[in-house]
Amino acid sequence: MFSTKIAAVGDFDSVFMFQSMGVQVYAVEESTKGREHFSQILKQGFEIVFLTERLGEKWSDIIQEVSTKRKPTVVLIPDQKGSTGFALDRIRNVVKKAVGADILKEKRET
Amino acid sequence: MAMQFATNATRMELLRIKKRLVLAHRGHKLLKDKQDALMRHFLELVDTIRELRKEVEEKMQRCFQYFLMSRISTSRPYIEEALMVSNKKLDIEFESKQVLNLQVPVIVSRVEGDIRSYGFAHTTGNLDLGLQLFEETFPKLLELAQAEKGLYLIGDDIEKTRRRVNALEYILIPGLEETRRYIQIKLNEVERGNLTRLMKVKELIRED
Repeated sequence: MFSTKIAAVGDFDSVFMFQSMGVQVYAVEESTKGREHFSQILKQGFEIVFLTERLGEKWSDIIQEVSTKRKPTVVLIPDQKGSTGFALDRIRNVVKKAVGADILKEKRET
Repeated sequence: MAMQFATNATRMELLRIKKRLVLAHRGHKLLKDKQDALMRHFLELVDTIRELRKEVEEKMQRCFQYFLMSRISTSRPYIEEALMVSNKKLDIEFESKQVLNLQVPVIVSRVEGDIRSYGFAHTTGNLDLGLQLFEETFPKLLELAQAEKGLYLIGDDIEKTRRRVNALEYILIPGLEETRRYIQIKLNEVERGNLTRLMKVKELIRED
């Protein structure tokens, strides 16, 4: 029933619905143990790992490591408390590095 | 002024450097073109991602509202149980698309079955509604995953390419130019020296 290619990581209330789509769900806490668990999950050969923004912010160093590898793809999703904007910040950073200017910011204002 | 390379001022060396200079110019132009092309793809992706993300965030927010309501009346084990029996089959495949020299992933997904295969007794209608909405959102999430990976891969490559372009433009090419100039001047000087020496020798011979 589960796809072995996708995983969702986060607090239970924010990721449980992924289970309905046949995604492997890991309910983890924001702790050292959760952190270890998460880096282990990344090594399990998933293609896509959904992670709540709130946790992503805490573990951004781990995400950064895999971001330019072919897999897994870590996608940050908002959790039940709403979006923190961290996912957009990450994208803005990539754009800044690649383009050499913060073009997203300008576009936002207009 | 750019640093010149340590070379012998010989005609051979001059020829070699001229060849390298031509090659460097050609490489520079190629890389520059590549960078422009990558940038175009990159900016397209940025636009797509911004729109997708906005849509996904908004939809997920609505999902969470439903789920919150359903969580009030249903405890975690029941929800887990309900979702456990989902007969949804999700099959994704990764294909890759070539963007210049990069392999960018393309996700092909096939979804079968119904999520709402659980009983009605322990869960509320809100869960149904939330899951339905989530089902609609999920393909967008996959699209987002695909676009974001592409963005990171291309972004990384743009950076590398730019570094190479800059190295050629500001270090290698000026260095070669400088070296070529130096050798040419040196050779001209030697030529002049030879000429005067010849004239002098000729004079000496004539005086005899």
